[in-house]
This record gives sequence, structure tokens and C-alpha cells, in this order.
Amino acid sequence: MNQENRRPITRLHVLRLAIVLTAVTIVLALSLLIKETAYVFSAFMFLGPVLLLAAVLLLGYVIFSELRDKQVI
Amino acid sequence: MKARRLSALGWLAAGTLLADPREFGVPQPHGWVGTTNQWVQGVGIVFAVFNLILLAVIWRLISKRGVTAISKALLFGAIMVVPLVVIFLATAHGMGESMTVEACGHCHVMDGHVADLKNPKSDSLAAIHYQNRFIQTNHCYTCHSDYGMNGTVRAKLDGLGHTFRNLTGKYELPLKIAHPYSNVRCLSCHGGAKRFLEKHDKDILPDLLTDKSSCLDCHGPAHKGEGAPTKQAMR
Repeated sequence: MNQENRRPITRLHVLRLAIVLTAVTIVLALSLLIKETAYVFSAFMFLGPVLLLAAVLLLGYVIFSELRDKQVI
Repeated sequence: MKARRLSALGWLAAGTLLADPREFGVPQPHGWVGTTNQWVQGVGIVFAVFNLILLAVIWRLISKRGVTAISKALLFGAIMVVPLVVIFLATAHGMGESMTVEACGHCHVMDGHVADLKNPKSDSLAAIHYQNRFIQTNHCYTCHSDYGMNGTVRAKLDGLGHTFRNLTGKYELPLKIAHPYSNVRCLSCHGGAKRFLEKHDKDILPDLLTDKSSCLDCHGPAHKGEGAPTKQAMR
């Protein structure tokens, strides 16, 4: 695929990625809350906060870039 | 249809809150509303399901109408506020549940130890403590963690190591305790007890407190049965 055919990553894509990352975190938490096993607990403790942090950073990036476009900051 | 699904989810959460906590047939006290852990679990499930529904609604909203002021406000709540509550409740529930005998018994390698706990013919220390309810709950964790914050953190890290070794099969049988078993764990309960003071010479206390001699030298073995460590491996 050449450079011209590649679709640009829009804010909508970034927000969708943030939603997916949050959903994965919540599904991990839900499976831990419903039935705990050592593996689910370990996976949740390692992945949960990391994925949520990534989602928060992505949302923060969208907010920041939008404010910059509007020349608020 | 949606209302029915929501109602079913509500009943599922309510069922978790009202689950019978008593393992031994003791009736619940008057006005019983569940344990803290059951409430944490129930409220956590409700918040998690709410968060997933919210995320699905936002996904549809931004797909149809693009990023609007409403979707931005909902996104803030669904990514920055509600998940924090879910993570807090799930962590609290996970921490509590990881201390139970059932949690330790999840790994097949622990089957022998758990069977020994419940074997009425066993005279191992663990079985005596479990069957006489000398320890009320979290039987494995109580004897295999040091006291205070450091003990809790270390026990959790050890548990993580156990999970990894169980997953990769990197362990040898019979199991051997990783660190020498500290007498302080026994003495924290027994140390000031009348029976302990009557039956033990005061001269032995310094040796016990400095781990020069072990409680297990006279009172072992701690565990018996399939996969249980030898007496020497327990020290």
C-alpha cells in the first residue's frame, strides 16, 4: 500500500481505540469479579491498569489536540 | 427486550449480593445483608456492566453523529471516572479472594495439600488448624504470610511467582518451601496463649524467636499426603 492510499488516523480512530482498550480492561475486571482464578487475577493486575492508562492518554491526546486547534492553549 | 435484559442483569447482581456466605450451615444473623466482599463483588459487577453499556452507547453515538459535546462528556465518564471505580472494586475483590483456600487450590499441584486439610484422619498441623477452626478464614494465607503491609505485598509477589511456575511447569515435587518458615508466624497467635506458656520452657523462647530452632521440629509435619514436602523441606 502506498502513501497516498493510506487513510489518515483521525481523532475518531483514536477515540475508538481508547474505547476498545477501556472495554478490554472492564471485561478483564468483570471476569475477575464473576469468577476469580490465579491467571485472571494476574492478567487483570498487569494488563488492566496499563490498558486503562493507555486509553486515558489517548483521550487526553484528543482533548489536547482539539484545544490546540481551537487555540485555547 | 432491552428492559428484560437489564432486569436480568439486575437480578444477577442482586443474587450475588444475597448469596449465602455460610459454608458450615450456621444460620445467618438477623438482618444479614452479606459480607463486605460480596457487596464489593456485586457493586463491582453492576458498575462494570454499566461501563460496558456506556462504551457501547458512545461507540454508536460517535459512529452516527461524530464527536459531539454529549459524546465527549460521556467519554470522560466512561474512560476516566467509572473504570476507576471498577478497577478499585475488582482489585479489592481479587485481593480478598486470592487469600482463600479455594484460590490456593486452583493449581492442580496443591490438590494434595487441600485434600490433607480436609482429611479427618490427618494429624498434620495444617489439618488440625483447619478442622478445628483455629484459623477462621484464609487458612493457607494466614500461615504463609508475614504480618503487616510488607507481609501482604511479599505474599502477593510470591503468589505471582507460583502462578508463573504453575503455568510454565517450572517446579519440582515434592514441593519445598521457598524461604525458611519463620517461627514468628506461629508465635503471633500462640506466643501469649496460656496453653503455650504452660507447656513450653521459657528458655526455649529466645531460640524460637531467632529461628535457631523451629516449631516444626517438635510439631511437624505441617502437611501430609500427595505432593506434600518432606519434614526437612518444610523448614
